[in-house]
This record gives sequence, C-alpha cells and structure tokens, in this order.
Amino acid sequence: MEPEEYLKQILKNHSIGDDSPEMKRLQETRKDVESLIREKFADCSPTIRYGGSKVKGTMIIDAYDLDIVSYFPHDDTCAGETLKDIYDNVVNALAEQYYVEPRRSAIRIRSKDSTHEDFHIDVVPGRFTDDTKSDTFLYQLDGEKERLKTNLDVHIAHISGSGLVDVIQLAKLWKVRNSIDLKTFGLELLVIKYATNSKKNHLEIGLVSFWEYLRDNSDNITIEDPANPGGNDLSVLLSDSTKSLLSMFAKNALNLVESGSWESIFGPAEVIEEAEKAVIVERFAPSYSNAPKPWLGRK
Amino acid sequence: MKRWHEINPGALASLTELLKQSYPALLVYMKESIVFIRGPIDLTNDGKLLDSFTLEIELPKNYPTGVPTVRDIAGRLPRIADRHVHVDGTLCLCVPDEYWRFYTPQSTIIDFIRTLLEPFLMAQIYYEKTGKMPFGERAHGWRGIVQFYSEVLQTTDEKVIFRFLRYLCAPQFKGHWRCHCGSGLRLRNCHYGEVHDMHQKVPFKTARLSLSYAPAELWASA
Repeated sequence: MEPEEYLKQILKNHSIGDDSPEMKRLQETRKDVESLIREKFADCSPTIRYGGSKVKGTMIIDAYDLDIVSYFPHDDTCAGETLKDIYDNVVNALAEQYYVEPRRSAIRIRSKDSTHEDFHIDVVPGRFTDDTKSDTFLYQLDGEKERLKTNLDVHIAHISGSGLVDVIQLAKLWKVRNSIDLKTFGLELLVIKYATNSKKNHLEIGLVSFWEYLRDNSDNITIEDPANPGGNDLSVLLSDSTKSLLSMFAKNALNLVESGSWESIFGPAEVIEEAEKAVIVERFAPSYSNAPKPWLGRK
Repeated sequence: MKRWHEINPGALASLTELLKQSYPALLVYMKESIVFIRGPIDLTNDGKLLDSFTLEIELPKNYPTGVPTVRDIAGRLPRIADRHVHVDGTLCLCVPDEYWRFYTPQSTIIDFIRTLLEPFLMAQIYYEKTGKMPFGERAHGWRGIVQFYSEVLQTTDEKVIFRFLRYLCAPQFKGHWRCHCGSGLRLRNCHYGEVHDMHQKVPFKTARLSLSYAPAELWASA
C-alpha cells in the first residue's frame, strides 16, 4: 500500500462518526451539562456551544475530549463578579451532578460514583470582552496571568481553514501513540506553524515536514495563540522535556519513514473487529499455557 | 553504585539496536541517568491490529539482572486491582518471586516483552470482552504469594511457606537451621536443596518484600 493510501486508511480507522457510541454519549452528556448550567445560571444568559476538536474537525477516536464553552455577557455579573468567581461558581454548579477536576482554564467532569468515570468533557467558563461576543476572557488557575484573552472563532478558523486538518489528526494520533505530554491545542498550532501546507493536502509531505522541523529545531519550537499573538504566553505548554520528546519521537518517525515502515508509526491499516477479539485471544491460549499469572501487591 | 549502561557503555547501543529490529516504534531514552523505553506496542494477528498499548518500560540500575518495570502511561487500562494495574499505572506482571521462571539474566528486552508483557496485554484485551483473565491470575497480596509457593513446595500450609520465605530473606542461610517443613530436622538433613535452589533464584530483597505481605497471625506464631 502506498503511504498516502495507508495514511488515508489510518485516518478512516481512527475517525469518530456522529453515530458512534462515543459521540452519542458525548452529545447526551453535553445536553445534561447545558441544562444544568442554564438552570443554575438562568438569569445570566450564558452562550453555550461546542469548542475544541469537535468544531475544528480534528477529533479522533483515540483522543475525543469535547470542550463545552460557557461564556457569560461582559456587562453582567450575575454569574460572578470576577473571572475567578465565574470559574468557581461553574465548578460548584457542576459539582452538584459530577465529580469535577479543575484544570488550568477548564473543568473536567467525571461520574460522581467511586469509579469517577471520565466523560471526556471539559467545560470552559469565561466572559465575553464586549457585546460582539467574540473575544473572551478565561480564568487561569496557574500561569503568569490570571486572565487569558482568547477567541474561539479565531481558533476554529485558524485550524479548520489551515488545509492541514487531516495532517493534524495524524499528528494527534502520533502524539497519543507515544503519549507525548502536549495539549492538543498546542499540537494543532505546531502543525500549522511547521508543516508544509501542500495544496493537495498531501499527508506524507505534511507529516514529514512537521517531523523534520521538530527533529532539527528542538530548542526553537514555539507556539503563538492566533487569537492573541504576543499576548498569551503558551510557552507553559512546551516544557523542555516535551520539546525533547517531540524531537526524539520525530527523529524516530523519520527513520521509520525512510525505511518504509509507516506501519510502525501508526500501526497496521487492517484492524480486527471488536467482536472477533476474544476469539482470537483464545487462539493464543495454548502458546500461553505457561504464561505469567498477573498479581497485585496489595496489603 | 554505577548503572548498567555506565559499566558497559556499549550496552545501551546494543539494546537500542535490538529493539529497532523487533519493536522499531519504541524509543530508548535517558532521563536523570535512568533508561526508559517508551512508545506503542501493537498486538497483531495475521498482520491485522488486535490492539495497541502505549507503555513506558523503566530499566533498573542493575539491568539486565534486575527486572524492568512497566507503566501504562496513556491511561488505557483501568488502574484497579482486578486488572492487576497499580494506581500509578504500573503493571503487576506476576508475583516478583517468580520472575526467574520467565526472565533470567540472559534474557533480552525482547524476551521480556514477548514472555511477560505481551501475554499480560493479551489477557487485558480478553478481560475487556469477557470479564475473565484467559491465562490465569494470582490472588492479590499474600494470597497470591502463597499460591506461587504452594506450587514450588507442594504444600498449602502457610506456616511452612512463611518459614521458607524467612529463610529466603536471609542473605545467607545455614544448614543447621531447623527445616521449614516442620520435621524438626536440620535443614542439611531435610529440605536443604529446596532452600538452596530458591535462594539462587529469588533475590533476598524480593523475598523480604513478599514476606512483608504475610498476615499478623503468621508473624505472631513465628
């Protein structure tokens, strides 16, 4: 299989359809979250919409976190006086129904039972900067500034209009498969900045050019927020160890490309159906008759 | 104490080369003098992908004598006892006292992955579909240790197993000690060979760790 054909098949294998169980679950949870926020902030007219990879078209089954933004009008303090108040009030509202995990600007929700099952949903509270309901201030738990200015529409336009959406999806898969600790948003911006944007949306050219930059410029990898270039410090997304790992894994990927081993980077293109998996493992049983028996050190 | 790759500088390059041949997607790198192997392990059947796991393998200071530690760094596996995964993502591949059955100082990293790791991952796939471990499992904690030593000593008497483990904990054991089997004879006149054999195979620090799982009543009766 030619690399381009192989990469297209990989994209197909890792896409997440609207009728997939994962997407249906996300949509159901989104409805519940939206109802809860509208009920708790009934007088505050929040704007609630999808954000993140769902609207940018970069979602893959291996990393399908959904952002739900909940932005409040700029001239109304009913959701909270300050950005921190808004953030805390949304945390408290969500905590009535979910186990909440406060993150930098978002709030991760999990099931309230002891399993704390991950719903793959982050709620992002914020306040519009003016009546145009475009630029938004987000609260930041850590970082140099407590306030972050951003713009969801600019992000969406920047990513989805980049002509590199498919390359971004593959880069996300590469990041997930190597467990590189970099926020998806950061990776998206890196791909747009460093990958060659072929007009034909050539996947191999895009990926190879991206990896070549990472391999050769480990110390010079930087990210700028298109919604506030020069204003938001995104360097916290790129620690030295993350840069180093990006560079090392990029070098490894390029070596594999050179030896024609695309399958080592993204795995085989052909995938065994879920329903067949148990039967196939059973076939291995004779060869694993003396296999180690797993244990757990629990006192 | 010098680390294995400091004692033999060529060993790291050999390890990298070996992995490149069988698991080219895995990256070997060093952080604070510790060598890690990291990346995806794809389990396949007839060239088709069965499942994929992103793992980090940490090589101990005394590698290859010491056994590597494996962590699920992608959060793919639930970190619960039933799946034999610690809360920090470390996989419990087997009772540490029985590593020698699957991993010897002559074993390579490839042997480790194929013999210890891949069956564990296969079992996880099966468990996700059926709720059962297909190739068997040990009970958690002390019970699992007893299961292992019951097979070795052909007894389920926990007091015997406890005494045996205590002998394994000693850096050196003596022939004049009373035999663990309870016969009243000296070890040299009874099960000396049994202790000697396992003493060679189970590091005394590992035995000490296992003994720490023993319940209080066994310590009280000792």
